[in-house]
Amino acid sequence: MSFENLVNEHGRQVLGTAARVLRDADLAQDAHQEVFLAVWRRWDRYNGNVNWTAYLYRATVRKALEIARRRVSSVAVRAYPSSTREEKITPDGVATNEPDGALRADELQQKLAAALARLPRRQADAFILARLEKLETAEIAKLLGCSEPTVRVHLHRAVLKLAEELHEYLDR
Amino acid sequence: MSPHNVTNERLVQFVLGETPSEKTREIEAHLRECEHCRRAAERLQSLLACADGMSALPEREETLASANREVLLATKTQERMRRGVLPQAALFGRTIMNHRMTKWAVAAVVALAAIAGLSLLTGNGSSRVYARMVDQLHNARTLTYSVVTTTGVESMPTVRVDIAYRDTGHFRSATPDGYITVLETTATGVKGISLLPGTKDCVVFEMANVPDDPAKDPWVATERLRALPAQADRVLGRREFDGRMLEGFEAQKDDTAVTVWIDPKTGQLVRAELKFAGAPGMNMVLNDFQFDAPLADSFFSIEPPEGYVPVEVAADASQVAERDFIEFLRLWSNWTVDASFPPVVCGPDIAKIAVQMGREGKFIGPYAPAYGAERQPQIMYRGLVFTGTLPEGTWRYAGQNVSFGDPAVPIFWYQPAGSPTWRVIYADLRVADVTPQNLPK
Repeated sequence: MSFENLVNEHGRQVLGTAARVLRDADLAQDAHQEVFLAVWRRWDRYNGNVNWTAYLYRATVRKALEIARRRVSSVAVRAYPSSTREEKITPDGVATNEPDGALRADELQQKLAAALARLPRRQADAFILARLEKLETAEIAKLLGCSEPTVRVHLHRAVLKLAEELHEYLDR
Repeated sequence: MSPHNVTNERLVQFVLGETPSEKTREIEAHLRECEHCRRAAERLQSLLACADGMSALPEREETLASANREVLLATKTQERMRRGVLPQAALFGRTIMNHRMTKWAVAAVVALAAIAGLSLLTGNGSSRVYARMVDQLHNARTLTYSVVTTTGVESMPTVRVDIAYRDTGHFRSATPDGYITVLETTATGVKGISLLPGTKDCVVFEMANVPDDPAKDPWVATERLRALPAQADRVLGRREFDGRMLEGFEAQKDDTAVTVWIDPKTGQLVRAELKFAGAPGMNMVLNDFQFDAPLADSFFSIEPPEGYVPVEVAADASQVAERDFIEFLRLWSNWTVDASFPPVVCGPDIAKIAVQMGREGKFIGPYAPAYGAERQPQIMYRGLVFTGTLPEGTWRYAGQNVSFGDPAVPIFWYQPAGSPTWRVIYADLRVADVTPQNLPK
C-alpha cells in the first residue's frame, strides 16, 4: 500500500476518532496531521503486516489525548471559549429544560474530554473505544491486544473514575 | 437488599447493560427504595449519555478531504526538500530550516503571511494579492523585521529585537542595547557569535549534527495554514499606521490570536500582532518588514569585534546527553546565592538573563565555586544544546524559582526518542523513569 492510499483509506477513521475525543474540528485536524506525519516519517520501517486500523486507532487516541492534555493546561489559565465553529450537540438525557441546556451539554463534553486525558492510558482507551467509537468488547480486545474481561475491567474503572471526577456536573 | 449489597461495580455493570437478567430486577427494586444508589446510577447514566453525545459527531466530507490533502502536501514538500529538488524559491526556507532556533521565527512569519493572504482570498482579485505575498516570502533573498514583545511580567520589561535573515543561511538578532547574536548555518548545524556589550565579552559557538525535526519545518506550517481561510474570522477594515492605510485581518489558531495588517496596494505584510491566551498580558508586535534590502556581509560577521574577549564553545549535538544537562543545572545552582536553578533552559535570552541576574547580585562570584573559567562556559553550552536537541512537546522545564535539594520536586522531564517512559529530574538532580500516567502535573 502507498502512503497516499493509507491516508485516503484511513483518514476518515483518524479524523473521526480525534474529533469525537477532542470536540473541536481544528484540534482534530491537528491530530490527524500529526498521526499521519509520524507514520510517514517511519514509512520505510513498516513491513507488510501492519494492522493499520488497530495501529491508527491507538495512535489517534494517544495523540488526541495528548492534545487534550495540552488544552487542559491552557484551560487552567482561562475558560475555554465556546468556539463559533464548533458543533454543538445536545445528547439526550443531558440537556435540561433550562435555556442554557445545550451549552451545558457542550461544557460537560469538554469536561469529559479533559477528564479522559487524565485517566490511565488503558482505561481511557477502553472508554473511548467502547463509548465514543461504539466498538464491541471483542474488537477492543483485539485492538488493545488484551482479553475481553480485561477490557471490561478497564472500562468499569474508567466509568467509575470519570463519574467520580465529574460528580458535581453529573447531578441532574 | 441493603444499600451495601449494590456496589459501585454492580451499578456500573447495571448501567452498561451487563447485569444478568435475574439480577436486573433485584437492582431495579433496590434503586426504587434507595435514593443514594438511585442518584449514583443517574450520574453514571448522565456520564454515558454525555459520551453518546460525543460519539454522534457528524462528519464533514470537505473537512476530511482538506485534512487528507494537507497531509499529502506536507509530506511531498518535505520529501522534495529532503532530496534537495525544491527550486531556488525554496532556498530561503531550506537554509533557515538548518537551525532550529530560527525555525519558530520563520514559521511565524510564513504563517502570518499565509493567514493574511488566505483571508484575502475571499475578496475580489485577492488571489493575486495572496500569491504575491507568498511569493515575496518564498523568494526573498533577505528579510528584516522587528519584534517587540511585551511580557506582562513586571520584572521582564518590554523587549525589542531586530531580526534579519539572508538566504545565504545567515540570521541575526539584535537588541537596542547591543546584545547581538549572529548565526551562520553549516552543513550539519550552526556556528555563530553572541555579544554581551556591558562586559565586552563574546561567546563564539558552534554546534554540529543538529537533529532535523520535520515537525518544525516552516513549510509544514504553511501547508497547514492553507486550510485556514475559513478561520481568519474577522475582517477589521482599514486603519492608518504611520501615514499608511492598511487592511486588517484577525485569526485565532489554538491559543494564539493573530492580527495582520497588509498594504492593499503592494500586498505586503506590514504589521502583525500576536496574543497568547496561555500567557495573559504578553503580546508580540512584528513590524518594519523589509524584503530584499541589501545587507552587507559585515552585518552577519561572526568574527569577534575589536575589544571583545572571545570565549569559545562547541558541541556535537549528537554527543550531548542528559548528564550534560544535569551538570549544567548543578553548576547553575552552585552559582546562585539561593542555590536556585536557571529561570529558563533554552533560547538566546539566557545570556541576557544571566547578565541581569549578575547585576542584581544573584550569583556568588564571577564563576561558580569549583568550576573554572575554562570549564564553565562549556558546561553551560552543552546543557543548553541538550534542550535544543529535544523535539518540541517532548520536554518541560519547571525549575524556575526552585532551589537545589528537595528530592520530591520535579524540575525537568523529557521523553527520550523511542522510549515509552519519561525521564524526570528532581531538585536534588536525581533522575527517575516515569510512566506517562505518572508525570508531574
